[in-house]
Amino acid sequence: MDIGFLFGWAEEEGVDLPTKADGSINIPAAFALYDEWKKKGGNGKAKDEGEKVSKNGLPSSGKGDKINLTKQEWAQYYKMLGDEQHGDFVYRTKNGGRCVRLQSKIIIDNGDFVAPAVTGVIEFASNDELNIMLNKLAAEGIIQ
Amino acid sequence: MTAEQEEVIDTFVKIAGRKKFRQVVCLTAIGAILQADDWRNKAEEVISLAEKSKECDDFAEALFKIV
Repeated sequence: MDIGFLFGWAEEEGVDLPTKADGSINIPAAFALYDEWKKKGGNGKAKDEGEKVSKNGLPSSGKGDKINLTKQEWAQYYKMLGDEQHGDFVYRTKNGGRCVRLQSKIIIDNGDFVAPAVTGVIEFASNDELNIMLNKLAAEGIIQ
Repeated sequence: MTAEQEEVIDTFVKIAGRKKFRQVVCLTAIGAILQADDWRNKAEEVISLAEKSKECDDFAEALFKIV
Protein backbone atom coordinates (compact mmCIF):
# COMPACT_ATOMS: atom_id res chain seq x y z
CA MET A 1 0.00 0.00 0.00
CA ASP A 2 1.19 3.49 -0.81
CA ILE A 3 2.13 5.68 2.15
CA GLY A 4 0.12 8.55 0.70
CA PHE A 5 -2.95 6.33 0.73
CA LEU A 6 -2.29 5.53 4.39
CA PHE A 7 -2.32 9.23 5.28
CA GLY A 8 -5.44 9.76 3.22
CA TRP A 9 -7.14 6.91 5.08
CA ALA A 10 -6.12 8.31 8.46
CA GLU A 11 -7.42 11.75 7.53
CA GLU A 12 -10.72 10.41 6.23
CA GLU A 13 -11.32 8.10 9.21
CA GLY A 14 -10.13 10.58 11.82
CA VAL A 15 -7.40 8.21 12.98
CA ASP A 16 -4.32 9.49 14.78
CA LEU A 17 -1.36 7.68 13.29
CA PRO A 18 1.07 6.29 15.89
CA THR A 19 4.32 8.17 16.25
CA LYS A 20 7.75 7.44 17.59
CA ALA A 21 9.40 9.23 20.50
CA ASP A 22 10.85 11.84 18.15
CA GLY A 23 7.43 12.67 16.72
CA SER A 24 7.87 11.00 13.34
CA ILE A 25 5.23 8.57 12.12
CA ASN A 26 5.79 4.96 13.15
CA ILE A 27 5.19 3.41 9.73
CA PRO A 28 5.03 -0.30 10.73
CA ALA A 29 2.59 0.50 13.57
CA ALA A 30 0.55 2.70 11.22
CA PHE A 31 0.21 -0.16 8.73
CA ALA A 32 -0.72 -2.51 11.59
CA LEU A 33 -3.41 -0.03 12.60
CA TYR A 34 -4.76 0.02 9.06
CA ASP A 35 -4.72 -3.79 8.86
CA GLU A 36 -6.64 -4.06 12.13
CA TRP A 37 -9.20 -1.54 10.91
CA LYS A 38 -9.59 -3.49 7.67
CA LYS A 39 -10.05 -6.80 9.54
CA LYS A 40 -12.87 -5.24 11.52
CA GLY A 41 -14.69 -4.53 8.31
CA GLY A 42 -13.29 -1.11 7.65
CA ASN A 43 -16.67 0.50 7.43
CA GLY A 44 -16.94 2.42 10.65
CA LYS A 45 -15.63 5.85 11.35
CA ALA A 46 -13.14 5.75 14.20
CA LYS A 47 -14.60 8.93 15.62
CA ASP A 48 -18.06 7.34 15.69
CA GLU A 49 -16.80 4.57 17.96
CA GLY A 50 -16.24 7.12 20.65
CA GLU A 51 -12.55 6.53 20.88
CA LYS A 52 -9.48 6.79 18.75
CA VAL A 53 -8.29 3.66 17.01
CA SER A 54 -4.89 4.22 18.57
CA LYS A 55 -6.29 3.11 21.91
CA ASN A 56 -6.75 -0.43 20.61
CA GLY A 57 -3.54 -1.77 22.08
CA LEU A 58 -1.35 -0.01 19.55
CA PRO A 59 1.06 2.85 20.16
CA SER A 60 -0.81 6.00 21.02
CA SER A 61 -0.45 9.15 19.01
CA GLY A 62 2.09 11.35 20.73
CA LYS A 63 2.27 14.89 19.48
CA GLY A 64 5.99 15.53 19.42
CA ASP A 65 6.98 18.84 20.94
CA LYS A 66 9.86 19.21 18.55
CA ILE A 67 8.34 18.09 15.26
CA ASN A 68 5.34 20.18 14.37
CA LEU A 69 3.94 19.05 11.03
CA THR A 70 0.37 18.63 9.87
CA LYS A 71 -0.85 15.29 8.52
CA GLN A 72 -0.76 16.77 5.04
CA GLU A 73 2.85 17.82 5.52
CA TRP A 74 3.80 14.36 6.79
CA ALA A 75 2.07 12.89 3.73
CA GLN A 76 3.94 15.24 1.40
CA TYR A 77 7.21 14.46 3.17
CA TYR A 78 6.82 10.70 2.80
CA LYS A 79 5.67 11.08 -0.80
CA MET A 80 8.77 13.08 -1.64
CA LEU A 81 10.99 10.47 0.00
CA GLY A 82 9.43 7.80 -2.15
CA ASP A 83 9.80 9.80 -5.33
CA GLU A 84 13.32 10.47 -6.53
CA GLN A 85 12.22 13.12 -9.02
CA HIS A 86 12.41 15.93 -6.45
CA GLY A 87 16.10 16.74 -6.91
CA ASP A 88 15.62 20.44 -6.22
CA PHE A 89 13.79 19.81 -2.97
CA VAL A 90 15.77 16.97 -1.44
CA TYR A 91 19.47 16.79 -0.59
CA ARG A 92 21.11 13.67 0.78
CA THR A 93 24.67 13.62 2.03
CA LYS A 94 27.09 10.76 1.39
CA ASN A 95 26.78 9.72 5.03
CA GLY A 96 23.00 9.61 5.02
CA GLY A 97 21.83 12.97 6.37
CA ARG A 98 19.01 14.48 4.38
CA CYS A 99 16.95 17.65 4.11
CA VAL A 100 13.59 17.83 2.38
CA ARG A 101 11.86 21.08 1.46
CA LEU A 102 8.08 21.29 1.85
CA GLN A 103 7.05 24.76 0.69
CA SER A 104 8.29 27.06 3.48
CA LYS A 105 9.46 24.25 5.79
CA ILE A 106 12.58 22.12 5.63
CA ILE A 107 12.66 18.73 7.30
CA ILE A 108 15.99 17.30 8.40
CA ASP A 109 16.22 13.55 8.95
CA ASN A 110 18.68 10.68 9.22
CA GLY A 111 18.26 9.70 5.57
CA ASP A 112 16.59 6.34 6.22
CA PHE A 113 14.00 5.44 3.57
CA VAL A 114 12.08 2.80 5.53
CA ALA A 115 11.76 4.52 8.90
CA PRO A 116 13.20 8.03 8.65
CA ALA A 117 13.85 9.77 11.96
CA VAL A 118 13.21 13.47 11.74
CA THR A 119 15.79 15.41 13.71
CA GLY A 120 14.65 18.95 13.04
CA VAL A 121 12.30 21.26 11.21
CA ILE A 122 13.30 24.65 9.85
CA GLU A 123 10.47 27.03 9.08
CA PHE A 124 10.52 30.36 7.31
CA ALA A 125 8.25 33.03 8.72
CA SER A 126 6.34 33.37 5.45
CA ASN A 127 6.43 32.48 1.78
CA ASP A 128 7.53 36.06 1.11
CA GLU A 129 10.59 35.59 3.29
CA LEU A 130 11.35 32.32 1.51
CA ASN A 131 11.01 34.00 -1.89
CA ILE A 132 13.40 36.77 -0.85
CA MET A 133 15.96 34.09 0.04
CA LEU A 134 15.38 32.21 -3.22
CA ASN A 135 16.00 35.45 -5.13
CA LYS A 136 19.22 36.09 -3.20
CA LEU A 137 20.41 32.56 -3.98
CA ALA A 138 19.44 32.89 -7.63
CA ALA A 139 21.42 36.14 -7.87
CA GLU A 140 24.49 34.12 -6.84
CA GLY A 141 23.72 31.45 -9.42
CA ILE A 142 22.26 28.98 -6.91
CA ILE A 143 19.13 27.83 -8.67
CA GLN A 144 18.88 24.21 -7.56
CA MET B 1 14.00 39.86 9.05
CA THR B 2 16.11 42.81 10.09
CA ALA B 3 18.70 44.66 8.02
CA GLU B 4 21.39 43.20 10.25
CA GLN B 5 20.14 39.68 9.63
CA GLU B 6 19.97 40.35 5.90
CA GLU B 7 23.57 41.47 5.92
CA VAL B 8 24.88 38.24 7.46
CA ILE B 9 22.69 36.18 5.17
CA ASP B 10 24.18 38.00 2.18
CA THR B 11 27.62 37.09 3.49
CA PHE B 12 26.62 33.45 3.71
CA VAL B 13 24.99 33.48 0.25
CA LYS B 14 28.18 34.80 -1.34
CA ILE B 15 30.21 31.96 0.19
CA ALA B 16 27.55 29.47 -0.87
CA GLY B 17 27.61 30.78 -4.43
CA ARG B 18 31.38 30.57 -4.60
CA LYS B 19 31.38 27.00 -3.29
CA LYS B 20 28.37 25.95 -5.39
CA PHE B 21 26.23 24.76 -2.49
CA ARG B 22 22.81 23.34 -3.36
CA GLN B 23 19.74 25.54 -2.97
CA VAL B 24 17.90 23.40 -0.41
CA VAL B 25 21.02 23.17 1.75
CA CYS B 26 21.42 26.96 1.62
CA LEU B 27 17.79 27.41 2.61
CA THR B 28 18.33 25.06 5.55
CA ALA B 29 21.28 27.16 6.68
CA ILE B 30 19.45 30.47 6.25
CA GLY B 31 16.33 29.17 7.98
CA ALA B 32 18.44 27.90 10.87
CA ILE B 33 19.93 31.36 11.31
CA LEU B 34 16.59 33.16 11.14
CA GLN B 35 14.78 30.90 13.59
CA ALA B 36 17.58 30.64 16.14
CA ASP B 37 17.06 32.26 19.53
CA ASP B 38 20.57 33.64 19.31
CA TRP B 39 20.72 34.28 15.58
CA ARG B 40 24.05 36.14 15.69
CA ASN B 41 25.77 33.17 17.26
CA LYS B 42 24.08 30.76 14.85
CA ALA B 43 25.04 32.92 11.86
CA GLU B 44 28.64 32.96 13.00
CA GLU B 45 28.58 29.20 13.38
CA VAL B 46 26.99 28.62 9.96
CA ILE B 47 29.31 31.03 8.14
CA SER B 48 32.33 29.45 9.82
CA LEU B 49 31.19 26.00 8.68
CA ALA B 50 30.59 27.28 5.16
CA GLU B 51 34.07 28.77 4.97
CA LYS B 52 35.70 25.60 6.27
CA SER B 53 33.77 23.26 3.97
CA LYS B 54 35.31 22.25 0.68
CA GLU B 55 32.03 21.30 -0.95
CA CYS B 56 28.30 21.16 -0.39
CA ASP B 57 28.37 17.69 1.14
CA ASP B 58 30.89 18.66 3.83
CA PHE B 59 28.84 21.70 4.69
CA ALA B 60 25.53 19.82 4.77
CA GLU B 61 26.96 17.12 7.06
CA ALA B 62 28.19 19.70 9.53
CA LEU B 63 25.08 21.85 9.22
CA PHE B 64 22.65 19.02 10.00
CA LYS B 65 24.45 18.48 13.30
CA ILE B 66 23.85 22.01 14.52
CA VAL B 67 20.25 22.62 13.42
